[in-house]
Amino acid sequence: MEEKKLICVICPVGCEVSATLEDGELKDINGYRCAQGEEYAREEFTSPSRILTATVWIKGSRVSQLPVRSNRPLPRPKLEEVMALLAREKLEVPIKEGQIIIENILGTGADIVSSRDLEK
Amino acid sequence: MKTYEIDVLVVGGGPAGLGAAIKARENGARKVLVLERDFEPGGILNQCIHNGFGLQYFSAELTGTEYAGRFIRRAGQTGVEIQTDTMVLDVKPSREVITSSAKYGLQRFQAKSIVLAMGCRERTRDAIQIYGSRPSGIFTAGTAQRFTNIEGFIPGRQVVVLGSGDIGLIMARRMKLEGCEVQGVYELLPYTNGLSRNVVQCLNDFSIPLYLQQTVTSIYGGERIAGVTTQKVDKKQNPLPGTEEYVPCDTLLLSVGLIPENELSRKAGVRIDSRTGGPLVDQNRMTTVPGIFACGNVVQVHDLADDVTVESEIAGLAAAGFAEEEPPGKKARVLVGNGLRYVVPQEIELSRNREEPLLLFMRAELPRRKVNIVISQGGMEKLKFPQPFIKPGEIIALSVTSEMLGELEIDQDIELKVEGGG
Repeated sequence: MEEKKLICVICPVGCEVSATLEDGELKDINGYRCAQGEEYAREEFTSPSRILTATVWIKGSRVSQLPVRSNRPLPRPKLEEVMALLAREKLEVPIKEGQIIIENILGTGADIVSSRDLEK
Repeated sequence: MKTYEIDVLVVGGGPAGLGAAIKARENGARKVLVLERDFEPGGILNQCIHNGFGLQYFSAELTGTEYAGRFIRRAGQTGVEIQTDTMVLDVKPSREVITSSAKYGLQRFQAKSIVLAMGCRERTRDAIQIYGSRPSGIFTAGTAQRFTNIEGFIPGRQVVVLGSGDIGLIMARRMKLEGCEVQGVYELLPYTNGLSRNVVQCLNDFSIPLYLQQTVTSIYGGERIAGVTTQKVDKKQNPLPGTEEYVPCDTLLLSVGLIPENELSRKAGVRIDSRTGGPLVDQNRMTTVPGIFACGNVVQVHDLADDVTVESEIAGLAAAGFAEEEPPGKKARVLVGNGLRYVVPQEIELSRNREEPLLLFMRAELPRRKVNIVISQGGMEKLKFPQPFIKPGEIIALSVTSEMLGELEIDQDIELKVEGGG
């Protein structure tokens, strides 16, 4: 049995939600005050995921960094590993917003895409 | 020097300026020109690579750069002209604007209406007076953000962040993701001024400690910063002797507040509200100088770009209509009562009929639960807005419908205050 706590971030109230987990499975959850809060807390306790945003090197423009993002949330424990892959990228302009930089990164089903247009 | 005639001239090409320009162009203004000092439009959004933008305005979770992209493209589609690399030197009450740029030299513009959208800038070490030597390695969080996200320089390797506003929290995560050691985020107040989401996703996710009621009281180092002294503070924010701790670092990031950038507003002769640090505006975001409007962080420091957009559209619409509109009638003052830091707009013309609800934005002085925001006139309570939770870090927006406005006397000042709660 494992006890976990979190602050709900769905709205400014900031409810403290606590849960009991057994082998990663949610057994008991309380402290939330709305349905959205419950859904958020359940996912956050069992499989937290985050959109990753970062930059990669790019040549040919007045800026040296191209902002990129994952087009869907990545498992939280994978973020550092994805960062290491992004550090190796070297791109050139032109790039369009939404253009795929790395497809299906680390087999997560998420793509790393450009988050802006960048021309010369 | 030739004078260029403009219908709506917008100073600043960030989210506020672009939003106002597009709205003005869509509402009949023929020649709309945005003047931007950077080499591209987008303003601070260009360095905001993180997500969390657009949830309210676009119902989509965008990065700052994506949010800017939507407005830059729409500006192009609607025929808004943008002149970059151009510094506005002077704005006169007569709505004459003087600029300087390498490409065009000195220029003079005469506008029918002007929208001030210069945004804000960060407070620096000098503004908070930290004792000690003056080494390199001390940056405002936004400067470090620009270095990292646009120019490709990591400012250092071992980082202390002072101030828990959103920029500070976001930069703590950014530095950590780029491989830096982040020693902690120090906050003078007993609570953070950032969004709860950022505390969770920027600090907790990466086990970055948040030290509340603690501040940096001294800086050490020769050429480069080597460390800082941190200290706990009492309720009056005075450092407590005996609580000093030395924290080694090669970088100190300051996220200690934003100041609306109003040098040009002052030149234009508009009155500044000492509470917001921005121009005093009415419900159309017109300043005290007829035909000069203001919107975005130059008026009040917003929490969200989405709120800036909403405000910029109010200003853009009014700026487009300024020439045709009847001169404004008598305006009621909006007085700031108990429990509030400020309210925007500071003046309202209550006599004019309106279909859209009137939006009132305000900031609380302290965090409180289950309160009412009360609007009164001449000591009489007129309207009541229950709020489950208020805190200084999150702007309160009240939507006052035209029916509700009918409850108010058109020639009396209104007062807003916080009542009840704990």
